[in-house]
Amino acid sequence: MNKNSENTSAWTRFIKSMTKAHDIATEEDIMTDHDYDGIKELDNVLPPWWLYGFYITIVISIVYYFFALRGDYNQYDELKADVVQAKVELEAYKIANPELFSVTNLEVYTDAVNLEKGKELFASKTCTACHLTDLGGGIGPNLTDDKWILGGGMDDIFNTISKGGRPGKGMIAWESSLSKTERQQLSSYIISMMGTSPAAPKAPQGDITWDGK
Amino acid sequence: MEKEQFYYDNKIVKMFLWATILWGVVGMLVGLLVAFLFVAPGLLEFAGSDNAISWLSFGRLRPLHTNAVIFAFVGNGAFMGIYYSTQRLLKARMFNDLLSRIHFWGWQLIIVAAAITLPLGFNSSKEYAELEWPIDIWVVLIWVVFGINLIGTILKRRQRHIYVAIWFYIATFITIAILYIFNNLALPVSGFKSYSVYAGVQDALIQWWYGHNAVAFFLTTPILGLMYYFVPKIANRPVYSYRLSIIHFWTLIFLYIWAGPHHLLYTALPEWAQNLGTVFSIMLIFPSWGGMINGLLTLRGVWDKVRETPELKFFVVAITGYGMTTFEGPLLSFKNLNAIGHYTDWIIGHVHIGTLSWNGFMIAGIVYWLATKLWNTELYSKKLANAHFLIGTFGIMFYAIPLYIAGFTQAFMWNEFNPDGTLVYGNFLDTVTAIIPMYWMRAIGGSLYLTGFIIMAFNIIMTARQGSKVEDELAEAAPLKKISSGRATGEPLHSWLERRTVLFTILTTVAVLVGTLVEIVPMMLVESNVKTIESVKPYSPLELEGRDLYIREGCNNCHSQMIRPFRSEVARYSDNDPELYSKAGEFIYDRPFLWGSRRTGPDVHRIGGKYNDNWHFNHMLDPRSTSPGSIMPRYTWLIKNTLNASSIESKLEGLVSLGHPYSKEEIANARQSIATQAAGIVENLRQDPEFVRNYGDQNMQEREIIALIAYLQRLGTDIKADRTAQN
Repeated sequence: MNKNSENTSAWTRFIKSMTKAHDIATEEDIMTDHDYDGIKELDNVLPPWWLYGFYITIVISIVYYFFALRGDYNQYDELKADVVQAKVELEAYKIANPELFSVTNLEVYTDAVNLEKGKELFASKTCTACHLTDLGGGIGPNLTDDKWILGGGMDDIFNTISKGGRPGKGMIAWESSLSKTERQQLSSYIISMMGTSPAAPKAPQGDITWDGK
Repeated sequence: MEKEQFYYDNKIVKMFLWATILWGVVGMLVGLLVAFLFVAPGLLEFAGSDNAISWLSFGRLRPLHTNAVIFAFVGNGAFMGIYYSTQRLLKARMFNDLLSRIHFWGWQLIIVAAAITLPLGFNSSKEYAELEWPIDIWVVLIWVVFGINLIGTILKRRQRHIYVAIWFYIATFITIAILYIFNNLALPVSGFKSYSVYAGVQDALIQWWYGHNAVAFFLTTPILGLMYYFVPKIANRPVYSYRLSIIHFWTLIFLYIWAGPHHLLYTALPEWAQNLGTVFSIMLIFPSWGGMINGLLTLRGVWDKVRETPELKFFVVAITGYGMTTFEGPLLSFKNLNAIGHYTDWIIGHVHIGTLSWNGFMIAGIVYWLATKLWNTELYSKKLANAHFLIGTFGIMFYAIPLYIAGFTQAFMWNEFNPDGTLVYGNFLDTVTAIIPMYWMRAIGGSLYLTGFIIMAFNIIMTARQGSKVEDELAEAAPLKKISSGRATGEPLHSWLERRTVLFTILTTVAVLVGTLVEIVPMMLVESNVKTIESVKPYSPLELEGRDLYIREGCNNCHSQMIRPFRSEVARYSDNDPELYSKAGEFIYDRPFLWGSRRTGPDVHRIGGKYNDNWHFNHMLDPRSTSPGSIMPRYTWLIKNTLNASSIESKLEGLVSLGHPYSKEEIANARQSIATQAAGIVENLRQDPEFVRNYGDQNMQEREIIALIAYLQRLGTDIKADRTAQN
């Protein structure tokens, strides 16, 4: 026995001590007298790695629940902390990049590249679902005539896109998913489409008149 | 004492074997079909895109898939193994042949009833418990028949002690009975419609107490029992450790029952219950692994034999898969990992590792071996069985790995913010189209797995044809001598318990009731668990009908109604209002709760008022028109069907008896109320000239779509009234 253990590596001895599996050659020593339809049962000891593992999970569980009871994993506090943190970061970002957030002196693009980008956004951001591809209006109002519900012109159009339409009408606020530049491109594209002739224009809606001038 | 001769009933085993193969093919085929709907949503629109077929839509087929593979495939597979092994382990024919037949045919009838009613939209929405009340009653009756047959056989046994496999069968019978009955308690309001007796948060807790333990006691314990019979039997090796069997049996059934709330982490479920779900899941790792190592170490010394025996190869992968899922499950129960995995395809991958390997491969191994015994012959082709093993194993990997990638991809896309505080993927669809390639891979993996299974079906048919049936197999054993029921001196406690089967059954019941009672009773009785919100009111009759349509169409299979308290979720779903995550008090009139478990589409808890009625109308008519790239089915039938509100009075009265405050006048005027509210919605819809052109001359206020729009527009809005009042 001694001779054997001298010849085995530390790793093998460790494995042996963690499994305590009885040698197959002498397994009759730990054979129970059970016989179920020919099935026999050995009675190996619980493998120590298994037993210690089980104990460890029980200890982890007790500790975890204790901290949980103290309120350490309160999900609503987590949210509050996250929101505060985000606010701090956003303020810092705003100070560092004021031009990205100012809504005065908005730029009306007239160049082909930006207008093309605006047209793409108009389709890909599903504006077409309500205002139609030719902007003639459907669920939403016609965008080619001179009547506006929430006001025409760069400032008002940009604001409607940013903050959304009237409550319950279906137009969501896009400022949480479109950058300022993208919203300017969209607004510019809409302005560029003023006065075009859609296939089936919806009757004018809104009390504000703005004819693009 | 003189030996008695008797016959094992092999015919019943054979019947369950054929049913296993048949329903396995059907259930997996439906699974494959719904997998392809992710990549080709129009696949089943045989009658044209403006004439979609209701009973072939994803929301109705998905419950059919889950019910078919769980209860039809694994259920029949488990019964096959249980009927074979129980008789031999107890040295007795089954208690009663007639009960065996009633069990078999009664179970098949349930499956057929499910296959008809689920596509028709009769479902209670509770996952893996979708069947409506008349079928539920039938399920319970048949389950009791199975129980009587099992316990009757135990009582007339010729083997003094019951073996570990039988312990697991007892736990299966007892626990599934308790789970099924209590989760399905509902008040019928018409032939195939009922309302859960629990509402909102309580309903959620009961459902996941059931859902989690259906996995434990329908997909795990019976299969562990089969493992304890078939692995040592086929390997011809003694079980590794008897004492490990004892410890892992009792710890497993005691701890499992507590872990249900880990399906509801970060929801409106009170946190004391969530945390119980977490810690009991962590403690479950080693009891589960006890089963794994007792199975694998039984093969000690015969690994060379494993290489040559297809059955054992299947078992090794199955048991290893079991070890993997039972480690992954507890990991997912930690709140920080759950925050990533929940609602994503990670969970779908996780579940399929368990079912495809542990359930599917254990059953496959048993079927191959039983075929040789039942037809007294060699397997028709060992080569084909090996091919099945290889293709199936690749299938599992191709199924699961892409879904893990999809799950992580989607979770990170959902949560990613720009430095200016906007969501990078503000359009939910971006997070869907990104993972479509993974859905293709998954469908390929599923196809491989099914191919392997069909190869097995062929192999078994050929084996049966070359063999000869042995319907009644002769056996002999001595009857039991009567001995004192008391514990003899020196008799080990557990050994004594193994011959006191009634006491054993009672103790098993106690073990599973402890966790049940500790979690559920306080949730029902302690009011602080669900804080009242003054402005939350019951649904109007039209909204209620709309909600029942939402359930009928299975919308909850893809859309959650539970905004977790995460910055990314309130940004996406609650207009960036950090106070407007979903709260327990908002769900008190929700019978059943509809929180969902997977977000294939976005959460809809606060969809009310977000879009206008026209948007919803067009979106249901053709989701791609409002949301390019969407994989949602078209619901054209909702626009054509007339709403059947004929049982609205009995629905409202039923809800009154469950505590909803509808007045007598409200019930008497329900139909008038429906007409008025519907007319208002149609008026809104008429603002769209396109709507007027296409539907202007039709009776639109009576259509189903109107009720659904009414419900969707109400969702999650009540709490806002409360806030306005406070300000």
